Amino acid sequence: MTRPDRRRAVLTGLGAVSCLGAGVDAYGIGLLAGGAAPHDVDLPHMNMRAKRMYLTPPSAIPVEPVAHAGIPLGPAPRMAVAAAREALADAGIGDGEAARVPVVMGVEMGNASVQEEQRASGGGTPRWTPLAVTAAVVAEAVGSRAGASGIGNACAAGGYALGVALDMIRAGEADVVLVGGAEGVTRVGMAGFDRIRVTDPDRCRPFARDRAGTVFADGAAFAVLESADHAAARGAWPYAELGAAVWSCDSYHHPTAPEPDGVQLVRAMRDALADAGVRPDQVGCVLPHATGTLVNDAVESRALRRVFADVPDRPPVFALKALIGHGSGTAGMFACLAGALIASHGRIPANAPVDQDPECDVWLPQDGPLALTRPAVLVNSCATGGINASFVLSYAGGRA
Amino acid sequence: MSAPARLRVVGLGMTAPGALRPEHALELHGEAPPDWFDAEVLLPGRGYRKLPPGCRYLLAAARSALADTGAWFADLPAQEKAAVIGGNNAGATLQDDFDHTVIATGAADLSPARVPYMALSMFAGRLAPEHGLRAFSLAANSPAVAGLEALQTAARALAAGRATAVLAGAVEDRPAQAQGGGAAHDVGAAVLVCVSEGAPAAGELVYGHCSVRGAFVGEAPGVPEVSDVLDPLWKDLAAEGPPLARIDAVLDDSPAGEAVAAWLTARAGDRAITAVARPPGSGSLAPLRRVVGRLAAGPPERAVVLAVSAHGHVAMADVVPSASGVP
Repeated sequence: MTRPDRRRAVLTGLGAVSCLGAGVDAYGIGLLAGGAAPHDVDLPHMNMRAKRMYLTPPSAIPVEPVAHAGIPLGPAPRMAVAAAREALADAGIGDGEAARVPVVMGVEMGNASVQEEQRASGGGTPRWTPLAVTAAVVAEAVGSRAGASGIGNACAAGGYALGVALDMIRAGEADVVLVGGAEGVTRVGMAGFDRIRVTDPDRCRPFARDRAGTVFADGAAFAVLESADHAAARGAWPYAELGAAVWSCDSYHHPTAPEPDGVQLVRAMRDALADAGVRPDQVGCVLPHATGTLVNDAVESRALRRVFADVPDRPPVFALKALIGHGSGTAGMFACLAGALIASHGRIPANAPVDQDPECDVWLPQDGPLALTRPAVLVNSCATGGINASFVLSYAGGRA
Repeated sequence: MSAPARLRVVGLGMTAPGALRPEHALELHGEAPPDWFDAEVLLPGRGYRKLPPGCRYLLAAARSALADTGAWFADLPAQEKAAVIGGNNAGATLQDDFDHTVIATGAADLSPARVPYMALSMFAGRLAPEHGLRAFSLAANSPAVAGLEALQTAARALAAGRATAVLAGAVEDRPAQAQGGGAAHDVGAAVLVCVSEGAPAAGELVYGHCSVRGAFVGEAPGVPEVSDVLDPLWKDLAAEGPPLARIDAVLDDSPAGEAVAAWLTARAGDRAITAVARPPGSGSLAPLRRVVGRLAAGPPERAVVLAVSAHGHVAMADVVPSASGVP
């Protein structure tokens, strides 16, 4: 499944801070143990219907760094620094070696919590506090001098950040890229989605008959993406190969609904498989975007049916957000980490139990973890506005 | 490491107070008058009135840029057309207003039509149905440098074969009160129609060529550290191509901005420097305006447009206007 004509890219380090705790080990173990439950958000002025999130335990949120360039930092950039450092350490990239490693992050709301605290307290005009300062905070913390880029592609930001990082590796612009996402708790973000009735007051239940919307999550997820040759030369073992990260756009006239036929999502998936050199029958697991919203889950189910129409044994689907919620700008990176762990360790966590909607005709195993019987994992990362990304992770030799 | 991918610019659009044509992009104005955007002239048609102001600026700039390409762009297959748009503050006032509404009365009083525009991606995303873009839609949001990063990302994506043509640009509106930022801020939008350097000729008009390098110097670097980071980029940039005649530097008074300014003074030699002083947080449009202006109105001399954020981002655009491409 390799293309000898271009530079291959592998994931050699992972890092996470999530509702399952601090660290990628807690993340992987937590997924196999059934995930987390949402809780009410403890912020002032939560004047909305759906008030729950899958929340990172306070003990897992670092207290530093407290500021960058004179502006205070909320939990999201602090979690980003912890996850980024973990990913670099996991990859064996030590202090002083990250100067040549660019940082690419999917971030939409970023440091919004600082602005919201100021509004809630009626504070005066502060020093300018950008939302997307997170990549700079990470670059500062790890010592990168090779660039810090923020990509604000809403809930598909992770898939797009991975695509940008892959382009950089393939073009020879970098040997190693630190790619990630981080989002915090935002009142205004929750309120907006509450207003358009796409959030569930109870829990996130993709593909369920009674699903009523998504439930957001905070946290940070990072990966070290590295050229396969560079990783091999320094003896780094990969979790997985990132064989492709393909983008498409619905160009649909409705701002919040997906294209009903999912034509562009199908194209993204098919092109990703083709670019990775993977046949549909080599896909052993799909991590769909699957937010728990009524229309999107049905559209994605139909799209998956089309992509795997000619495969006698359709692959199992792992609906990650039922276990950890919807990480918005970091959702794609959390899916990347889950996909890398699945590809590396060969175990697919069990789905959360649901009464499956017959309109969502996917194979959703719920009776315990499954073995990954084919080498590739296909991941979707989508967003409001018809923004799609699909990427392919494949077994790349395994990890101790 | 390899040299950055280069773009060929075949269309330009500029919509900002006092700069409603690309050849006026280098002219800076103060506070925007409230009636500067005449929608009947700049964005005629139905369905735009309820959009956030920044979205209308962006649509107008894109429409203007695409007028340069005639039918060529419109005739491309949709899955070969894309957008990369940078911005920092385009949705800031909307978020600020929304949060105040939630605090005062609750989420039920928010405008559902405007909810999606809390995300910058919706500004770029609104271009997609407008111009039939199905390759991708991407939003860049790094402070101060997002406009130049949009060009950098577009160049990478074109080189990677993700699209045949990309609308690359920036959009800004006034910052929200909670962000501070003062009165001086970017307002408006710029759009460049970009194709890959090596692609077949897309039309009769070529404004020029461009590539972008990025770096990070930290929040409080000294000049020696800035030199360590930027000297290699500068050396690569100067190593080939026509003589570098001009430098436009969009800087603020932060420690990062001042350190880069000192470094630049030492490296510029006898080249003409235009320093554009901006307060931190004023947005990502000003650097892109310099690129547009150099391509559309400057003398046909190679120029560098450099932007620095208070947070440590640096972007450097290498701009080579066509000697014969200026309309």
